[in-house]
Amino acid sequence: MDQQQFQKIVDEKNPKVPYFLNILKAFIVGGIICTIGQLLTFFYMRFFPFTEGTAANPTVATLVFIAMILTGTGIYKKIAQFGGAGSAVPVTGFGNAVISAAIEHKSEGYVLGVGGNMFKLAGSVILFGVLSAFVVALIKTILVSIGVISW
Amino acid sequence: MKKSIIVFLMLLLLGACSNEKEKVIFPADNSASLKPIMQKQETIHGYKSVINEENILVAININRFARFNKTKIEEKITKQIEKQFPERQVLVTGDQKIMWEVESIIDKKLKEEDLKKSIEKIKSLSKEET
Amino acid sequence: MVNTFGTLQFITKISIANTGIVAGPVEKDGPFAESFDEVLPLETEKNETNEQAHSRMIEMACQWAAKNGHTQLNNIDVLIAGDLINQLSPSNFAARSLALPFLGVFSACASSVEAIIIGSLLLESGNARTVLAGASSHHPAVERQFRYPLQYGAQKPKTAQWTVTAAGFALLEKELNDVPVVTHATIGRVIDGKQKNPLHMGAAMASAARDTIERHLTNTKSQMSDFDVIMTGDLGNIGISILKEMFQDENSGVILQDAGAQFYGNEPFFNAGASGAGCSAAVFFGQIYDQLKKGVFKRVLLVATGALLSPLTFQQGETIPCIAHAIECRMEKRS
Repeated sequence: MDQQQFQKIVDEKNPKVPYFLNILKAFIVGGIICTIGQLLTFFYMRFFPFTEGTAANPTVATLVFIAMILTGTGIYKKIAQFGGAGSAVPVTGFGNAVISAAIEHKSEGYVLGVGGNMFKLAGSVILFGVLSAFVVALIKTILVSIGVISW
Repeated sequence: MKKSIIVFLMLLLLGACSNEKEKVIFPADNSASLKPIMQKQETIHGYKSVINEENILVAININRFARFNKTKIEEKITKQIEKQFPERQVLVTGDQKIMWEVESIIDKKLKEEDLKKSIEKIKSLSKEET
Repeated sequence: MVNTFGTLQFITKISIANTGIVAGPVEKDGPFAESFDEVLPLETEKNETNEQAHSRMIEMACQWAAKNGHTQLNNIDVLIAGDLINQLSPSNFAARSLALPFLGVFSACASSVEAIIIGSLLLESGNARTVLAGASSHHPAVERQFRYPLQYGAQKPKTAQWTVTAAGFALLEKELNDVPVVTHATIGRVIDGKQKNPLHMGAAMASAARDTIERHLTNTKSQMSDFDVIMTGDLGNIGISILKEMFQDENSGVILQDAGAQFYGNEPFFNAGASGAGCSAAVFFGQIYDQLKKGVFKRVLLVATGALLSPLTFQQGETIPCIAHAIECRMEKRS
């Protein structure tokens, strides 16, 4: 049996990925998380002196806090298995990545373990987030200076 | 249980439909030259405004899909009002929080000093950066 | 001993005197649970690291194997153990407290059978009288090393397998009656099926399993139908169906079975099934051993499969090379 035949069998036996179902699940889970976020934003605007612009900060903090509790109790993992990208893309997914790494590496101590490994997964989110923000800002600066668009 | 959820959703839906677009200027007697400016705006479906001697505060409800151009709309309206009232400071914003604050001023019918204080508070609020 | 390209035949009666299986709390609901000697109430006790729990589990399994075999632990000549963690540290640490002459072996999830082969050779050569051989894996410790942190929410595909928390050890002695005997062994070759997905190891390991089974059948001049069961270690649901497809033998459908696919009883939560060094060890030395001892099975081929990947190699884009070791066990008729 050569490699080609083997690969053919493997491809045949591989289960089909239910893309549509996964997208639907991700939409629902992501939508629910974002709705909770929106409700939190309204809550902070209504009862605290935050405007639409500034209410995002306490909202993110609260969502990360909720994600922390769900991660610690093992519920977030189950949500993620169901929701996929729907739970990974909102800020709760970022929180989950940071917190799960921190819990995991607690056994190596607080400085080298938790401190050193906390951003093991989330580090790339930060790096490429900053990088893409820089690139977008650069493009806009160029477009504005040659007069295609205005600020 | 299921029935009550459906009823609840229907109420929300109908509630959204019947929400009348409020257009209020407070105090009303001061509104003579502001009203025509606000009336001709097509990108908004409601506004609430507070006026005193130094300030004009307009909270606007921007149409759903025009919200992408929120800053531009705010700027445009600000310029138009400033032309009309060159001696006053103008603040136009689509921020929901400011809308609620303006509403509370209108509800309480604040006068003179209190009004001035509230307006200053709102202005400092809107200046806060993230 | 006749050596035909990796297949060993043992002249001496290498008897599996007894076994000791310790499994974690998740495993106790599976169909093999009744063959476990002990089930841990918690995967990791409070104030204990995963690795400490892992080596404690190995010690417990060794003690069970010795106790059931009516041997004192310090009468054992050699301990051979393997696991999946870097530098075999859990096995090393367990050997430290057991204070036995120790050989550490690694061929990923095929470590259990590799340990048995080495132990059998030691007995055959007459250099040891009792050997304790086996392997173990611990879910949180392994997941952490090979994949993401345990609580990280990454969606697992249908092909992913769940590393079991289990340790299985077998006590090997010579010339015992009424216990299963290791008659042949085939040492695996490292086979690369050019698979790259670390979450679909069944496909990668299937080609290695096929190579070993085929060589064993050829070298022992036997056929698939001569065996009661040919049990692979941890191919998973999809891996075993690939393997069955690769053998165009009409018996392959029934005789070829997979420990990993059956370990959790087809529970969809575990996706393709179980994996890990402890999976094959716990099933081979647990359920299969019991069945052999009872006389339900007369002749079985145990093929433990291992994917020889590390987190480094698959991130560097390497394919996953795999290995499969096999032992043939027989139960002689009771006199």
